[in-house]
Order: sequence, then structure tokens, then C-alpha cells
Amino acid sequence: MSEKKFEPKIVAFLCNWCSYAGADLAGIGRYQYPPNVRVIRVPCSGRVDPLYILKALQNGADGVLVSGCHPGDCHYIEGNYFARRKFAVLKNLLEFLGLEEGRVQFSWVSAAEGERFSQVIKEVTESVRRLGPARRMVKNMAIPEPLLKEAEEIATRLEQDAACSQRAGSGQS
Amino acid sequence: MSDCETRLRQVAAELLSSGQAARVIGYGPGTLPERTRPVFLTKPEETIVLVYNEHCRNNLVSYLMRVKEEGKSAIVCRPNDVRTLVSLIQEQQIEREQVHVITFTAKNADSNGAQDAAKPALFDTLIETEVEFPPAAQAELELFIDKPGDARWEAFKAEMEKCIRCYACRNACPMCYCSECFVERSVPRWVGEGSDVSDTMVFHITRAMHLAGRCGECNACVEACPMNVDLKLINRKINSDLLELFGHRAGVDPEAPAALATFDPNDYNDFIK
Repeated sequence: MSEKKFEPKIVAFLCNWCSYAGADLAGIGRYQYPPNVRVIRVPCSGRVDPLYILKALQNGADGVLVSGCHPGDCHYIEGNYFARRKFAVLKNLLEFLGLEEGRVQFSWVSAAEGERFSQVIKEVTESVRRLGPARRMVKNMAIPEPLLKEAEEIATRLEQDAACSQRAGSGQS
Repeated sequence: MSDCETRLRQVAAELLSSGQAARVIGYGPGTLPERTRPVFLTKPEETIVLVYNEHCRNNLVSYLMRVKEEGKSAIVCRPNDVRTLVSLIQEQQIEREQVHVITFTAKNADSNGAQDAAKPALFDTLIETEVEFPPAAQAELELFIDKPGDARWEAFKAEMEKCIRCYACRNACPMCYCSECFVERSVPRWVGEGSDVSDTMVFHITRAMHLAGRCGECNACVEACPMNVDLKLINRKINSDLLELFGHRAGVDPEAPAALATFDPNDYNDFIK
């Protein structure tokens, strides 16, 4: 099990007009990219609230990518400019507080950049893989009841087995 | 009684007797030593209770938001409180004509270390004073940045673990005027119930983001916190970034919109692939 490569879970917020179409084009053009990204389509990169990024990290995403149109190409004229300011502040703040650099990443990918999209996903996946599983910001989830019960049952069974074999061993000698 | 308090009482009494203001919102003596409490005065003879000293810890602008419909108020503002008032006027929450600002001179009024901002951005009465409030947490910020990432995270986590999520910081903040805060939303529930530290982090980081470019560093949140959570560090960091990246200072220019409510096509782009 320890041999297995760590496969990060990455949440990607892609803008409907550029990056999502870029992802589509990557598919049409058969450009391969790692299956680690979970895409969430948003109308604009400006629609991505910092809260979405924090919640993704809290609920177990190892990395978050926000991708939108290149500056000047926004479908809503200026959405990505507002997004850029917002994310510059957010990224600086998270790294200042000690969140690993690279957990939260940003990119511009246009609808014509299918190959670039696959390249970005490869880079993001590899950099998050190097960071390892997210531990900071993650909400501690309590162990579900059925799992606990099962673990207890296994433990008692093992104990009984051990006692049995001990008795059998002492009887032989 | 100091000279500035004499002057303050005189100004307040004049405003009330001439009818220029329906009320004066100021600081009065508290029930304990080294404490003050907000007072709302409507008669000139009541102005005798007004005080101004380093124990004035609230930002009275928060109260202004609640009486803004009820005639013109005169308000006693500490130097950094004026910055929050400027932001509120900018956001069209308060009309400039509906408020008479009484404020004071200060040596460390500018939280970004510059000494040229001793004069507040906006005022109707400026009173000379020797009373000073602690400067912005720039030194603490620099100390924090020098630590390695893991130590920073541990320090931040330790601060967040102190928080009991009473939201006193939010309630004391004049800039937190949303009628429905995201922490109280139940669909979707952004901040979970229980004491998980990640939820506390989501609250504080998101509140800091909501205050980005609007926080005047008046310290009201810090003073309101019953658990002594170091809240000023986060706001200081954002304000220092905004100045560095976009040349923006919150609440110093009534004409300039908040840093995140505007943009420049040539903004800092290096962090984006």
C-alpha cells in the first residue's frame, strides 16, 4: 500500500467561457491529462468566492485551481480583473498564515488552449502530489459509527484467536 | 480633565444647543476604572460626561450605523475610526451631510508607518490632543513573516483554537454591517457547528477577505474579543499587501473605492500561470 503513488484530489473552478471550453478542447484534441481534477464550472473566475476555495480545502481537497480567461478576454469584460486582485490578496494571506505554497493555484487558459489546459493540469497535479496529502485546514471528520463497530469486532476476534492458539500451544507441550 | 476634553465638551454642547446635531455619540466614564462606555447625548448639559483618553476602546461608528435614519449625529472618532467612517461613506452607507465628525490629532494615525497622515481624511472639528493609541501591528507582522511556514501555521492554529466563535469581533466592527452574515447562513452552511478549528479558520479568513481594502485598523475587534485572539495581524497583513501591490490605503480617500472593488488592467499577475 505504501508503494502506491499519492493521488491528490484537486478541485478546479473553471470559467464557463474560456477554461471550461479549453478543457473541452483538450478532450476533442485527445490531449491527455491526469484524472485528479474535479471540475466545477462557474460563470466567471470573478464568481469564485474565496469562501469556495476555503471550503474545498476544508472538505478534503489537496489542491484548488481557479482558471479563467486571459486578462482582457473576459466574457463579462472585467470579471477576471476583479478576480485577480481578490486572489492576489487571498493567496498571499494563506501563505502568510502558513498554508503550503501551491495548495491554491491560479491560471489563465483560453478556449483555444486545449493543449495548454492539459499542461496546466499536469503541472498542478504534480506540484500538489509533491506537497502530499492536505493536513492543514482539513476538517477532522469523526470516524463513522459502523466503521468503529467493525474495528471493535475485528479487535475482539483477533484477541480470541490469540487466546485460542495460546491454549492450543500450551496443551501440546 | 485634560484640555482636549474641555474643548470636546464645549464643541458637543454648542452642536446640541444650536441644533446642528440631534445627538452626540461619544465616550463617557465606565463603571470600572480604566474603562469607558459609549454615551448618546441629546441635551447640552449632558456633555459634561464626555471623556477622551487611551481607554476609549470602542469604535463608535458602529453605533452611527444604527441611528443614521434619525437625524444628524455628531460623533467622537479616534483617528483610525475616521478611516472606517470614510469607507462607509464611500460605500454609501452613511451620508456625509448626516454626520458631524469630531476627531483628534494623532502621531501614529497612519497605520502604514508614514508620518505624513497625522491629519484625518475627513473631519468637521479637529481637536489637539496628547492622547495616543497603539500603532498598527507592523512590527508583529515582520516578526511573524520571519518564521518558517510550519511555525507560522502552528501559531495561527493556536490563535484560532482560542476562538469561541462568539462573533463579538464581527459585531463590534463598523464595516461588518451585512444584515445576514455568511456564518449564520444555513443553506449552505458555510461555517459548521461545533468547535472544529478549520471552521474557525474559515470564519476568520473569510471575514478578513470581506474587510480587505475596507479595514481601518481601529482595533475594535481586538478590544471586543473575550479570548484575546490576535486578529490585528491578519488585517495588518492584508492592508500591507494592498499598499504594496495596489498602492491602496483603506479609508484615507473618500473618493477612492475599496481596493477589491476596483482594478487596474496592469495589476500584479506573477502568481497566475
